[in-house]
Amino acid sequence: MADNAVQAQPNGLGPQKQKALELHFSQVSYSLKGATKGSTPIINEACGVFKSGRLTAILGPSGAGKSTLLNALAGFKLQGVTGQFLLNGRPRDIMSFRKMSAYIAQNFVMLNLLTVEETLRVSTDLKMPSSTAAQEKQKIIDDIIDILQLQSCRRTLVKNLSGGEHKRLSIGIELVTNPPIMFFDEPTSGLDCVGSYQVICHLQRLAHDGRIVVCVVHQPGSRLFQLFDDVLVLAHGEVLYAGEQREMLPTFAQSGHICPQYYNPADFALEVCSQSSTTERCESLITQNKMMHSTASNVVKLQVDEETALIDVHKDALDLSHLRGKEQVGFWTQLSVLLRRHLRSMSRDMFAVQMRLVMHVVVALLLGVVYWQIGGDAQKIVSNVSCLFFVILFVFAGNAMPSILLCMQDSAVFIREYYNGWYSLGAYYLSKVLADLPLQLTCPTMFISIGYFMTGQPPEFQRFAMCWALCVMTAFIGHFIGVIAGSLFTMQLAIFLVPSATIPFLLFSGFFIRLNELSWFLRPICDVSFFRYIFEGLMRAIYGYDRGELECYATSNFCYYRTAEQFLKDFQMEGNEFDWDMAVLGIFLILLLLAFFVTLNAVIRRALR
Amino acid sequence: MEKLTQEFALRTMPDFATSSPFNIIFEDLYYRVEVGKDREKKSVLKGIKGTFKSGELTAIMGPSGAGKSSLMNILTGLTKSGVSGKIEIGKARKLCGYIMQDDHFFPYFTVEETMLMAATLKISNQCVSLKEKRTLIDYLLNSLKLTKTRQTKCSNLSGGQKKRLSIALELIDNPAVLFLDEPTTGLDSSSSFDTIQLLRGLANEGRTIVCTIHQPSTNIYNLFNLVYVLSAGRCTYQGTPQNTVMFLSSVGLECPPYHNPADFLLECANGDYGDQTEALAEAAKDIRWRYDQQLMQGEDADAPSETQVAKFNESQSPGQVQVQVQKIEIQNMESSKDLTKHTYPPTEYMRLWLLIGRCHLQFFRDWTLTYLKLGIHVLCSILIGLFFGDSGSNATKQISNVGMIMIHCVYLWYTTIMPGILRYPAEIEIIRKETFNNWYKLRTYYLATIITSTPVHIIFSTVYITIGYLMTDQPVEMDRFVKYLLSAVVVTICADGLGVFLGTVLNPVNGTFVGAVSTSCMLMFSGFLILLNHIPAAMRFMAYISPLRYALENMVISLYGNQRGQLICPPTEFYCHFKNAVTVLRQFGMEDGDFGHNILMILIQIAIFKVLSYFTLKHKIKTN
Repeated sequence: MADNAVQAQPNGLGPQKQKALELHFSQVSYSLKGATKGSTPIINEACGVFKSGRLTAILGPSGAGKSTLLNALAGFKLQGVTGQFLLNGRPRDIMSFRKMSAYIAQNFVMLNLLTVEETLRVSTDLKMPSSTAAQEKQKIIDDIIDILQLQSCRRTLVKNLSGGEHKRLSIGIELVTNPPIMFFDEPTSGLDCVGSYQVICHLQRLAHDGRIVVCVVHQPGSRLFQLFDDVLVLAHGEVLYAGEQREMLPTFAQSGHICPQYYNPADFALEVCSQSSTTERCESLITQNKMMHSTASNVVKLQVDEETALIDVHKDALDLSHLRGKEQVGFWTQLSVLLRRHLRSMSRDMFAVQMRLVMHVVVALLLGVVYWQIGGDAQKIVSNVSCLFFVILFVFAGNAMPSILLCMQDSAVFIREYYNGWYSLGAYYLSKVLADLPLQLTCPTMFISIGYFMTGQPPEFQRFAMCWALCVMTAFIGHFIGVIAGSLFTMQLAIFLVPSATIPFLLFSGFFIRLNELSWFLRPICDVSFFRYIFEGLMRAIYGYDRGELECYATSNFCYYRTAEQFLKDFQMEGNEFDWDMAVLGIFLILLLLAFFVTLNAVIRRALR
Repeated sequence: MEKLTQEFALRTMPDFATSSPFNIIFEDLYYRVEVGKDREKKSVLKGIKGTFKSGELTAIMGPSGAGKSSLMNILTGLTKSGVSGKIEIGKARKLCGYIMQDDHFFPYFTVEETMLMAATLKISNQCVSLKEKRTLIDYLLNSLKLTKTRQTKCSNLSGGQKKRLSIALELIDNPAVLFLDEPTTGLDSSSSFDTIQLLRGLANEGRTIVCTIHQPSTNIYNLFNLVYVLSAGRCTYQGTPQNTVMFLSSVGLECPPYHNPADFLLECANGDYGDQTEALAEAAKDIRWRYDQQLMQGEDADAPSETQVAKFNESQSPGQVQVQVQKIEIQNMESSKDLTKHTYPPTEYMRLWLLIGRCHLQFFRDWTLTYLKLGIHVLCSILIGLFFGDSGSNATKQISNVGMIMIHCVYLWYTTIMPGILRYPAEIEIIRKETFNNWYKLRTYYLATIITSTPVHIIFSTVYITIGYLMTDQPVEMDRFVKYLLSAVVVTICADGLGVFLGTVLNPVNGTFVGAVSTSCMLMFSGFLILLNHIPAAMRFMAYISPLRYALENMVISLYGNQRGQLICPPTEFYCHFKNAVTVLRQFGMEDGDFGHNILMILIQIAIFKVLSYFTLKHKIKTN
């Protein structure tokens, strides 16, 4: 049985074997919710029909309501929309309709550092059910590349694509699930005549393979216009014409609008739209169109009467959040695909990665030379404390500042994909955290490995491990503070807030003043300053845990701080409580991770408003 | 009143048709660029020639890669290398205006403010008074249908309104030649038609107007006086829109019915009906396509049949009526003009003054950032003051007092260098447009931003330092405080210079990282974390290039030098090591510090950063 099924569908994107689809809409109206009674609706009793195998153009001047109508038909607008939507004669279920249709917006963003094939692979991995075989996915990718003629740029980065190629790739991403209904909002905007022609040719081919394809187009050229099978002309929220492209001019002529010979029919339609809607000739067009489609809808009217009540009840329960698509793959698959994508993007931005690694090494070497073998000298114990303080400041600032600007480079892609149900917020969040992990671990590791031994700190693995853990923790805390600030505030404000907020906290690290010398009302701030626990942990790692006496190289053979224990006592950091410091920092990190999660939610709500 | 406005406005717009014409003539024009790794030369323009006349609206059309933008950039002067041939543009290029495809404005200014600022930058007050400039602005806004938006912020304008504002800005000083790059991109059909119709009216006043356009509708197409079509680097048509159908027919290409002639022309040029480039290029050399149909009918024995003429005229009727209406309006205005007045631009010093005013306005319009920053400065200063308490006079806290000085330097440095990195990248497109159209010189703008930002840094650091100084019980002596404050101010200005430099050399992400790293390195050699005499001799040279070191030393010298009296030793302490101020200086190795020398070193670094930033900004503007 399985073999028969495979043979029956050798080409995954081949013509539809199921019966032809027909989307019929009538009496569609849309008004703004806050509009006063009697104001002109944006869409007024629009009616028409979209059929399989036909490429339909929605024409009209600016402000005519083209995009609004497209959004209503695609199911993106529910509040304020009234009217009937019949799919093959039956009222459509909005959820299943959303699943079987695809909507490609005018500004379709993609990640710049992936290739065409990689972009399509992410789409197949996240949008097709988990049970799909890898071979089948690869075949679908190859078919899409063939259909859209992207063979020559299969391995080209998205940022190097031309305008037309970029448009075609955006179509390809949505083509992965082979949707029988596709809506396009101005697919040719920003392209020249050659690029526009190519894109519409591909849309025509998609339609003629058995799909419903609807586009909002803006002033199509003469030859471009002839590629369309059907036309819907919209003016001031009214449909002047909905029918075959070839019949548009004769229908206009019957109402007195005669197109000159050397005129683009689409331009002529726009001129007709620009005339006042109160003229008699336009009125006759509107009336005629309504009559024609009302007759068609009467045929199926009886069948739907019984289900009208259900539609009304169902509609009330829907709101925007329920329109989010359903996820097709499990959490771990989402995580692995996203993680692989993040890492591949990072590997293509090698200049930034290499510069950070090199800078960490250079500064570590510089630190080592300046503080050469200072760790074991009792006379220079104060300088060694300064060295530890510098380590904290460098690791923190080096991770917090770049993160402010890096965090939201892919936010537009994230919002689109999340809204279309590609993955859950948790999967994206976790992949974001894990993808940054290699750099977060590598840079502090290289820094502390070089600096620790060059500055003459005690060569004991346990102490080194403690210092390493604290450096990594500092890097993490700095990174997430930068990411959260960059998400919540504008770039200009975040770049100022991060240093102005963290430098005062640096005061409460214990380096500048003994904690017991602090005024009573300022002491609680010490308890919430993560710098204090980092500094305290470093001091204990170096001088705690039975460090014993330090070598005294002074010529006078006198060193004020000879024993490590006395030194820690003076700083009020005695006691082997490194575990406590580490635990508190762990709590800080958990709180920052939660704050990052909350920030992502805030970003989504702000974008969908 | 309206008549008076029109009469005055026309006096500042002389009719160029009656004075010296500004035709653009180019001949044997070649443009070659190097392509690929082997640097192979590729010809973009291959020996084209043409004449764009004053009083005419010319459209450069062609498919992608035909060389439209290259030709436009060569004529405007944007592209110079790789060009050979003869180009003749009336008088100096300074009489040209170039309106780019993308419109960029400062978002916080209204339309009227933007126009007034441009008028004062372009026309000197000595030849046209401020009142007369306002009258001129009223006229221009009215002509371009922007009167209703005069109080609207530029960020709230629609696409068509932004385009018209860009045109209005360049019309202020009445340029003889106007170049526009795709003026209808992003506009809807009615906005596109209005814009081209406006350009046609401007051309009828005697200007030379050249624009690139692709895929115009028929009624827009018919508004052009001359259509210049490029294909594969060659001219494949040079004539009026009305002659397009007959031109193509002469080489055997018939325009189908219900087909836009402009679309058909581009399809032929693009090779959709076979490779017609050679035939079209040869036929395009005929000069008669530039002239009206009636003249051609008289000259040619094989005149087209009356049926063809009637059909063609019918297809032109909508656009033709519009053109005639426009011409009538222009004639009415021209008949009311009298004498003309010559205008000239203001001096560069006046422009500097105007730009300083604009920068100030822009800075305080963005109140969220400005006042929030000041508030945070006050808050942080108070917090730091509470933290260090009476460290200024308490002998047991002198090490902490020096630590406080270091924190002040680090705070001012960090909060100044990071915003500096983002300053110029945000508005580089506006600077590029305005400097290219000769609104001002780049160095004038750069100097204006320095003059504007320096007082802000002075005020911010003064507020910050003063609060901290008083709260921590520092010595209340004016000379010490002034020296202390001066050191903080110059280090803040130095941070701004370095930030701007990093922002123009690197992208913002890498700029912030390098900024953080360089700050850490400077801090290492500041003399506080480790004494300078403890640093190995081989590395001490690094301290000489650390501004933080000089600032820290100066601030310590200010407080403890110059024979300061003894500090207060609390009764609870038996012995105070730092009771004598000179002990603090000796502890940090600053006993021999020279205040003047340190200030000079920071000022030298400020000068270096500012000069380097100017050249990197200039380089960034020239490259895309």
